[in-house]
Amino acid sequence: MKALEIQQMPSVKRLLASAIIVYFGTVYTAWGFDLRGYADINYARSFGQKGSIEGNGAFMLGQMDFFVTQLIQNRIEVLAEAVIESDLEGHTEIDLERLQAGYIFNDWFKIHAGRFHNVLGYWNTAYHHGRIYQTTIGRPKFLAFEDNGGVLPVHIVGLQVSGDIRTHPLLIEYAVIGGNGSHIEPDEFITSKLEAENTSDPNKNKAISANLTVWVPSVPGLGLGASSSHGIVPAFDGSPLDSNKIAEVSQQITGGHLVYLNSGRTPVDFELLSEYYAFRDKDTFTDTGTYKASAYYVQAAVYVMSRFIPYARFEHMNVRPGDPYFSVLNKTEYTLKLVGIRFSQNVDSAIKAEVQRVEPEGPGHYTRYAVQWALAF
Amino acid sequence: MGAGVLMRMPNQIRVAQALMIAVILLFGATSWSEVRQMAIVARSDFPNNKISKEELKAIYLGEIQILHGVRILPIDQPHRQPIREAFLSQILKMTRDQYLEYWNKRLYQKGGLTPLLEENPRKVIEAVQEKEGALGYVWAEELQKDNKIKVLLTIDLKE
Repeated sequence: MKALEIQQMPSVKRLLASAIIVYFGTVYTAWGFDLRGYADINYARSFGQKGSIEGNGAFMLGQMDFFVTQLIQNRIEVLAEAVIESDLEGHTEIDLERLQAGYIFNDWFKIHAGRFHNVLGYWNTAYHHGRIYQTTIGRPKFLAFEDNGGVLPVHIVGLQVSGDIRTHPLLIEYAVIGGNGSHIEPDEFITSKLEAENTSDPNKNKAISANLTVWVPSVPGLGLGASSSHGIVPAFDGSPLDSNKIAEVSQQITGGHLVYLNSGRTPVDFELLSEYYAFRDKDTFTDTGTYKASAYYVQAAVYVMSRFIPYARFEHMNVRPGDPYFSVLNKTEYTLKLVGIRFSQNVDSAIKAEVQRVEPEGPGHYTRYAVQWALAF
Repeated sequence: MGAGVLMRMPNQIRVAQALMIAVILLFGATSWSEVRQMAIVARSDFPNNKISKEELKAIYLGEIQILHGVRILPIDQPHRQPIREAFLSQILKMTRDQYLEYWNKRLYQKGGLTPLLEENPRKVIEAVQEKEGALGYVWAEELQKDNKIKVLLTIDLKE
């Protein structure tokens, strides 16, 4: 979603945001109401990265995340997640990240409408915007949110059908989303970025995503899944309403994920997350052919006395030269390695410290040190 | 028996004595822990007369929301109630912190509804009588003859 400065938000959006906050702040029903807040405060310093704003070392406000969920009737539920954050120039912005209203027909058949975190892989629908529940300081670089330089369509506005099918000895989770496609447009901080469409669609073809994950209840925390998405992604040299199209791809993303979580019910305190994505970008603008790219990460953590959690992650993105999608996004091949440690003070407070080594294609390798205090309240 | 005498005994006798003491301690410890019966109760119009222990776990972990066509409203109790600790440790096999963290994460990931908290077993019974789909846990001995509720499951717990 394009972040808007509060002062510059259209009055209708401001009214809508205020109405949501007031509604969820005052309404009460027999089903109860949950309001939670998530925040993180960071310090980071980079060595070897030319022009980095972290070169001098900097304290950084992370995201202030307000999350509400409520059952309106015994079958209708609403969930909303709004984030206040600072951009690279320090201006405060507000984004409505998730807004989902749904009807629960059964545990195995639910329909929701609204804005979702796309059902690609595991991370994107597990950790959302609050940092307290993810072991590491940040998301894998290629899985970053669109306005932070990510290459996956991690938000989508549309209709979702989902459910859990309990079939001994497995629990099968499925989700299918059809919604507005994304587009690429220039960005003042990161050259260009993907943009999820909240109120329009750049073309008549709806983007479709699906995820199937199988959990093994006899081994709590073990899950294996596959996901895929398809969409037409145009790129513009300005706002899509009043600018020229400069590229377009028909994109298929196919992925697999394997996770083993320390779910709180397992005797072994260990966590493994891994996801792999294959991109297939067919150039539908200049018809130069079909390009393939891939990205993956593997992350492991060990829980020592449940509180001290050393962790490590390896991630890599492989991009073929000439791929119009990655070219317009200004993304190239990279490898990232990180090690860190997390101290969970309690369930609502965690301090993390980590070292990252980022190795983009060619020169420009750099090292980044970062500390984060993540909170829930 | 003094330690000096024990030291002078043949090894086999000392091993046998140690084993006897261990057996006595083991049986003694077992008899000291009181077994109480927990009852899982629902309103009398609940569409089924029993649930399994696995279903009970899944309900309190939010994995089952609809059962026999009814939206389930699990009712929980504060941790200061001894039955809550017994329920978490012996049914869900979780500590209080693990349970809290589990629900915090689940709510954030999937939305939905956390178990409703009632102060004590008496309030749990009242809530079960009032709310369609409500389901709670109480000590069986606290139940009185009541046409408005029914017992879906009983479980022996060590206290």
